[in-house]
Amino acid sequence: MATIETTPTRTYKLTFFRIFRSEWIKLFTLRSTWWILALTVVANIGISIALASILKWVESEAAAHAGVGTRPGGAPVTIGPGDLGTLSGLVVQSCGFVGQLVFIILSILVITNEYSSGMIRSTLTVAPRRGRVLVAKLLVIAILCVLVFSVSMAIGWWGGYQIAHGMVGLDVVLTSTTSMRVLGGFIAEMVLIAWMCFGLGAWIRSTAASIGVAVGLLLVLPMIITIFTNTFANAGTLSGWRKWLVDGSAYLPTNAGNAVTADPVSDTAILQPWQGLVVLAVWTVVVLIIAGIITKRRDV
Amino acid sequence: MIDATELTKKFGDKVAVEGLSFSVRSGTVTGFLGPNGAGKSTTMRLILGLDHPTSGRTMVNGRSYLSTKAPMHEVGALLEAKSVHPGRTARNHLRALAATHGISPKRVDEVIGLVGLSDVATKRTGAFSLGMSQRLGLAAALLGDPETLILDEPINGLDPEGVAWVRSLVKHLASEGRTIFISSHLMSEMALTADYVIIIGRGRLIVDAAMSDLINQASGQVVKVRSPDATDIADAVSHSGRSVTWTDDRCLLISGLTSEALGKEAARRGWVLYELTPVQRSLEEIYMELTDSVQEFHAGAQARALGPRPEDSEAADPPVRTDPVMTPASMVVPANMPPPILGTEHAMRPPTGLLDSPFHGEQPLEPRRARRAWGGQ
Repeated sequence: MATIETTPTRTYKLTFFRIFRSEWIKLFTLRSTWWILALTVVANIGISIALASILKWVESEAAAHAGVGTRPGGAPVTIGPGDLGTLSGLVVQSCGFVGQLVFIILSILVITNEYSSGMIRSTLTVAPRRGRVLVAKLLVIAILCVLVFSVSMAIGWWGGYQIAHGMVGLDVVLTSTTSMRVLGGFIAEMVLIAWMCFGLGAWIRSTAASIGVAVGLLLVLPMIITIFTNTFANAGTLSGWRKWLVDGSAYLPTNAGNAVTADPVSDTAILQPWQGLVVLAVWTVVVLIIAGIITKRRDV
Repeated sequence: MIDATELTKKFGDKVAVEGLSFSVRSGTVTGFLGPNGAGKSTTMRLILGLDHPTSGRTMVNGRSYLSTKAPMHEVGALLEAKSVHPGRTARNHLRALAATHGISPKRVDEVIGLVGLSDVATKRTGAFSLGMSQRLGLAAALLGDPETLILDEPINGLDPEGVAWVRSLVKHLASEGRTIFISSHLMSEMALTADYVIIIGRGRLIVDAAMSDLINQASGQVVKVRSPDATDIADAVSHSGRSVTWTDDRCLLISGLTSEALGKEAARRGWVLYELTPVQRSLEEIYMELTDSVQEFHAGAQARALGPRPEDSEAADPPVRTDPVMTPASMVVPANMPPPILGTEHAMRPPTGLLDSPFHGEQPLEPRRARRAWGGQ
């Protein structure tokens, strides 16, 4: 019997771009993604406008009591140009409160969700090259991060400007070098921190443990060390392990990230902005490499 | 086509799979059987690259699964049914999987219709019953029009209609030249569905054989005899060291002899025979016997089906037990051995229920490689 070997037409093919599309669909077909991102944008904008309003109130109060000390026996308060910082710095600070925490948790969930639900088996069955799946997820996180913070910062800045323009103390120039560094640096910092958290999630696999480690490393540890640092600072000159602790704490991811958006930049700062960015990037790369090796090696 | 070569997987000290080699041919349904903990799911995960083997390797369609260009088109897999995010709807779950290979939303809807989930496609999967989850898993497996299907317990939780549907689906797919590798604990269902059987126990291969060979070999060596000379026959047979038992309707069950051998002997010695029947044994009985010594988790003596045969069950006599017909080692049949022709014996035996599935003696000759879309069943 003659057999006809028909070569199957292979229109179906796995590509990196398609994995990326799949990851994008996955993220936006969960309701929680929508409302958490919407809330984040609203919170970022709201806090920016609220802070600008508060500064404006502070300035008008100061002007009303010009020459009068705010504290009994204190020096008279006069607010000069730039004394209240820049509007860009204010917006960045505002977006850091809620936005950073949301992206810490969201980027962890992007991967730990899959392990806890068993979805990872479906994912890696259809896309068995694990590295590519991780990179696709990183790309999704980065795009999301850039989108959310660009929109929040643009609207927050515009809203803040409506309130703060004409103020003396607040520098409302958008296009200055400092302003651009602060705004751009913040987005870069957020992407790196989100990636690092994703890496922790891929490494640890459990949602609770990953969030615990991430919050501990990024929020709690710097806070504890700040308490020490302040205590030492009162004690005068530092030496030995105390100095090492204070200097070393600058290299923690959060502190390195803060150096990127520092405004103004102190000359005595241990890390200058670009150094801060490099240190944060090194943290992220190291965590991602470990996460990649573990994801490749371990069974799912 | 799936090939496993000297596959070994250890989890710490525990050996899940040890030196397992087998191949699953295209154009067939191959049942994968074994007690709980035997390593079936692990083996399937090893094939899909979800677990890494300690040693050995697996190939799908002649390649490592990791290196395939279109994994969903090579293999459709249903492992655990709940490999799904509970917050996503069924349709969105499938859309996300389909997107990795550029499979159209039209195909997603087609597959949803095929597995009968159209009514709940926009419901979140967290609320799905086991049966619905299984259907969703099958839909995911079928999305990429795969060459090979790997299904781990696909009929768990399905209603009878669903079970029959899966059976006809996998047979249809096999008839198109595809490879079907399916594990199940439902022996009667397997006997109906599978052309080939791979049985493992404690991670090792026990049997790799065509279903008809397995049943014929196990069955052909127990014969039932009704004869006025039964006492003489019983004496002669037990003198030859074979086991003989009396049934309560004064028949003999003789193991270790084929009906041909006994028939010739009867003619030579002049015994009158009223009835001489090879006893057809069920896949379940054969399975129980083969895996008895390697059960990972014993449920207790009553769970063993090797006790009295059904016709003896009401007897007040001590339970009649046929001796094990064959040792596991003797049963390993090379996978690529052509099925022995058992035509004469076949013709003699009247069809006896479930086990006379249409597969007997009619293996697909030339697996076709038809690549048509599956319409309805």
